[in-house]
Amino acid sequence: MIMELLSSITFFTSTLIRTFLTQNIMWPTFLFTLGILLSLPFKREKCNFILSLFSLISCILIIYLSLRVLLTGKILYFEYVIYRGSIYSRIFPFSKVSLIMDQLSAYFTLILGIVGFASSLYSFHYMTRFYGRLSLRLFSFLYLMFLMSMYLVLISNDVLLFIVFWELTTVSSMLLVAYERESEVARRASIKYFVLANAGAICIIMGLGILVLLTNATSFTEIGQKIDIISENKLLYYTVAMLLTIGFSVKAAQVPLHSWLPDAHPEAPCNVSALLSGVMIKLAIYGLYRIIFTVLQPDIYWGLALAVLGMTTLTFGTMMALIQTDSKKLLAYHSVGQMGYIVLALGTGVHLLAQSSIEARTLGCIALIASLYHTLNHAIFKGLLFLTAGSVLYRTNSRNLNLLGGLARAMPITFITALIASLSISGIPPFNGFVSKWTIYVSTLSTLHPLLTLGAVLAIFISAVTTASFVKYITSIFLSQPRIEVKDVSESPWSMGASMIMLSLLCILLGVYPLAPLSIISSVVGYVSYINPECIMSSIILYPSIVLLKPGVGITTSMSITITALLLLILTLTTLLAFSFIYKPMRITATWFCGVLARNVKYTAKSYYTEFEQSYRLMYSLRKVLYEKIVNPLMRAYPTVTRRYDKIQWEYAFSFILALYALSIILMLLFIRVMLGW
Amino acid sequence: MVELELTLLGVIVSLFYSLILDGLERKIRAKIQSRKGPPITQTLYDVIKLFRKELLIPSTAPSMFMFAPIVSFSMIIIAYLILPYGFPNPMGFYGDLILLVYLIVASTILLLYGGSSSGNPYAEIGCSREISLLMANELIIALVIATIAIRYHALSLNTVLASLTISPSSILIVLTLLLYIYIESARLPFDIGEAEPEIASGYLIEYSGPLLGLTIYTHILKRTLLYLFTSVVILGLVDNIIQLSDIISRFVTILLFVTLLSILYSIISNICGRFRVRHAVNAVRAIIPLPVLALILSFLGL
Repeated sequence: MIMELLSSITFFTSTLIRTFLTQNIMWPTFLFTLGILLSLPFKREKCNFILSLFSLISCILIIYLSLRVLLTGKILYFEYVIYRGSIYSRIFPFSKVSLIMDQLSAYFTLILGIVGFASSLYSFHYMTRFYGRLSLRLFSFLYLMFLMSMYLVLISNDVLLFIVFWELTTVSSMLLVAYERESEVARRASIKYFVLANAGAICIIMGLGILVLLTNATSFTEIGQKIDIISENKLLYYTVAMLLTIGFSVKAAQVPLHSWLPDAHPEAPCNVSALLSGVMIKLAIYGLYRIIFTVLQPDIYWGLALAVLGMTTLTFGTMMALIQTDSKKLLAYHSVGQMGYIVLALGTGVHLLAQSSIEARTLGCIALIASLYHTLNHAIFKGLLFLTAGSVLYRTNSRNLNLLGGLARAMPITFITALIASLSISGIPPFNGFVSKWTIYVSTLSTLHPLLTLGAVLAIFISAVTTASFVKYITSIFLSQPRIEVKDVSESPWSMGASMIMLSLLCILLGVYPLAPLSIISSVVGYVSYINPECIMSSIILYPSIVLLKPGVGITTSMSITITALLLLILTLTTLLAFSFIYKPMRITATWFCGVLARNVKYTAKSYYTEFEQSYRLMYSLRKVLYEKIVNPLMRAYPTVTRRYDKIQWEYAFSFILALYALSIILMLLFIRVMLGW
Repeated sequence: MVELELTLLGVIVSLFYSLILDGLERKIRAKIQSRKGPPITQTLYDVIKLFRKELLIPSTAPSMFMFAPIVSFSMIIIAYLILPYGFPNPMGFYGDLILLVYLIVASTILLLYGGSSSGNPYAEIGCSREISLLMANELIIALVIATIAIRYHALSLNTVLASLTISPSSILIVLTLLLYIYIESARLPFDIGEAEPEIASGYLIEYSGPLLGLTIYTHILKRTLLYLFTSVVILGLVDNIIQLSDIISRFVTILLFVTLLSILYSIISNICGRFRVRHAVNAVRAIIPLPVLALILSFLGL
C-alpha cells in the first residue's frame, strides 16, 4: 500500500512537472513557485533581488500570454482529468483540474501583468525600508503567493479551484496588510478585511454551490451550457444573482460593504497597496463578468441593481475621500469611488444587453467597453498614485497631508507622474481617465432610463469632486510650504522612478491613442456578448482621446473634418507660446506673505473644503446612519455568531454534529423539492 | 464647407470681441460709480502691455507655474472650436455638450494648479474656495445636461440649437443656465476665489507680466464662452419665434445675446457685495431644486 502510494506520488509529481513545462499557461505559476522556493534560503538583498527578478519575469510572461490570447483569439486551456476510483484521486481532492485563459480572463491577467510588473520593479528599492526590521523572506513568500493566487483565480475554470484560489488571495493579501506587524492599526485593519472578505466568500460559495448542485457540473463552461434549468426558475435565478452580487461586492468594495478597503489598503506596503487597489479588487469585477455573461444570462433587473449599487458607491466613496488628510487613505477612498464608476457602467451594460433590440444591445456593448476600459485605466492610475505616495513615504516617512509640502522641486519625477495620474483620475483630457469616463457618461445618458440618467448626473458631479480632492492631494504634498523638514529630501531611487514613469506613459498613451486598447476590449466584449467585435468597432469612431458613437445607435452625428488636425494646430500654438515664454528675460523672485517671506506658512489640507463639507453635510450624515444602522451591527454580529459557533463546536460537539445532520437533511429536502419543482 | 470657414471666423471674432466686452463692462462699472472710465479698448491695451513686460517667477515655484496657464488657454480655445455660432458646427459631434463642460472645468483646474504652485498660501486659499464653488456648480450643470438629454435626446450642441422648443423644462433649463454661468464666471457675489481686499487676487497673486496677461485673457475668454453657450441655448429656444434663416444674421443675433448678457451681468455684479465662502456655497446649493424640477418635468415629457 505504502509502496503504491509512494510510486503514485512520484508519478503524480513528474506528471505535474511535465505538464507545467509543456503547458505555457502554467509557466507563470511555475516561476512564482520557483521564486518562492529560491528566495526562502536568503536574507535581505539577495531575497529581495530574487523576489523582484522572478515576479518581473512572470509578469512579462503573463503580459505575453494574455496579449497572445487577445490578439490572435486562440484560447489557451489546460485540463487534467483524474478518474474516480484511481489512486490519485485519494491524494488529489479534485477530480478534474481545468484552467482556461479566454479573452475575458486574458484581459484581466493583462491588467495583473502590467500593474504587477510596475509594482515588482518598484519593490526592488522600496523594500529596503524594511531591512533589519521585518522579514524579507516572509514578504517574498506572501507577495509571490499573492500574485500567483490572483493569476490562478483569473484562469481557473473550475468552481472549486476558483473558490480555493479566491480564498488564497484573501489570506495572502490579508497577511500582507498586516506585514508591518508592530502597528496595531495594521493588525486591526487586516482582521476587519479578513472578516468581511470571508462573509463575502460565504455568499459566493453558496451562490456557486446552488449552481453546481442544480446543473451537476463543476466547471464554468459546463454550468453555462446547462443553465436553462435556472433561467426558467426566476426565484432561483434571483437568489443566485443576489448571493453572488453581495459576495462579489465585498471585494469590489461596494457601499455598504466597502468599509474594509479604506482601512486595509493604506496599511499595506505601498507596492502591495498598488496591487490591492489596482488588481485585487478587480477580481470581483472579473467574477461578475464571468458569472453574468458566460455562466448565467444578463437580466434587466440585475443590471439596474448593479447600476444603483455603483452610483451609491461612487457618490459615497468619493465624498468620503474629499475629507481625508492621510495620503494613502484618500487614495483608498477614491478606489471605492472609482469602483462605483466601473460597476455603474457594468450594470448599464447588463441592463441593455438583456434587451432584444439591436440598438440597445449595441449601446450595451459600448457601456461594457466603458466599464472594461475604466477597469484598465483605474488599475494604471491608481497603481501609479499609490506608488507615488510610497515614493513620498520612502523619503519623508510621512503620509500626513497637513504636514507635507514643497516636494515638487526635490522630487520632480514623483511630482510629474503624480500630477499625470491625478489629472487622469480627474478625467482631464487628453489623459486616459477622460476617455473611459466620457464613454461612461455618453452610454448612460443615451439610455434615457431615469435611474441610469441619475447615475450619469452623479458621475459627472462626482468627477468634479474627484478633481477637487486631487487638487488638494497635489498641492498639499508637492506645492505648498512644508511644515516638516524636507530640505535634504532627494528623488527616489531609479527602480521606483522607472516604474512610475512606465505607468505614467501608459496613462498618456491610453488617453491619446485609444485605438490600441479598444481593439483589445472590443474582442473581449464581443466574446461576452456574442456580438461580432468588428460590428462593435464599427459603431464607434476613434479620435485622439475621444471615442464617438456612430449613427445607428439612435444618434446622428456629423463629423466631417477630423479633430486630429485641429488638435495638432492647438498643440503647435501651445508649444510656440511656451517657447516664447521660456526665452523671455526671466527673473527669479522671493514669495512674500503678509510682509514676511512665505516660509512654513501652509494652508492645511483639513481646511481646504470645510465650507463645502458643511454645506453638503447631509451626505456625510447619511453615511453616519449607514454605519450605525447597517455596517457596525454586521461587524459586531459576525464575531458573536462565530464565537457561538465556536462554542458549539468545542463544548457541545455532540449537539453540533446533530445540528449539522439536521441542517443537511433540511438542505437535502429543499434540494429535492427544487429538483421536483414546486 | 462654408460652415467650417464661418465657424473659424466666428472663433476669431469671438476671441477679439471678448476683449471689447470686458472694456464695455468696465465702462458700465465706471458709469455706475459716476466715473468717466477707461476707453472701451482698454482691456486689449492691458493685455498687450502685459505681454511685453518682464517675466517674474517666484523662487518656490516649479515649472508647472509657467505651463499650466498655457495649457489652460489652449483648452479654452478647443472649447471655442466645438461651439456652434448660430449654425451647425461641422466640428460638433455627439457628446460635445459634455466635452464643453469638461473643457471649462479642465481649464479652470489647470489655472488653479498653476496658481497654487507658486507656493503662496493666499493662492492656496483662493484655489480651495474656487474649487468649492466649482464642485457645487458641477451638480447643476450635470442636471442640465441630463435634462437636455432626456427631453430632446440631444447630447450635442448642434442638436440643442436645432431641436429646442419652448416647454416648461426648457424654460427652467435656461433659467438654471443663466444662474450657472453667473456663478461660473466668478462675478461679484461669487468672486470669493480672487477677492482682492481679502486674499489679494487669490490664485493670481504671484502671476505677473505675460503670464498674468495670459491668465486674464483666459479668464475673459471663459466668461465669453459661457455667454456664447447660453446664447446658443436661448437661440435654440426662440428659433421658432424669430425665424432667422440667414447664417450671418443668426451669428449677429448670438453676439447680440452675448452683449446683452454681459451688460446685464455687469450691472448685477456692480450692485452686489461679496459673499462669505459658506454663503456662496449655500447659495449654489439653493439653486439645485430648479434643475431637479426640470429633470422631473422632462421625464414626464413636458
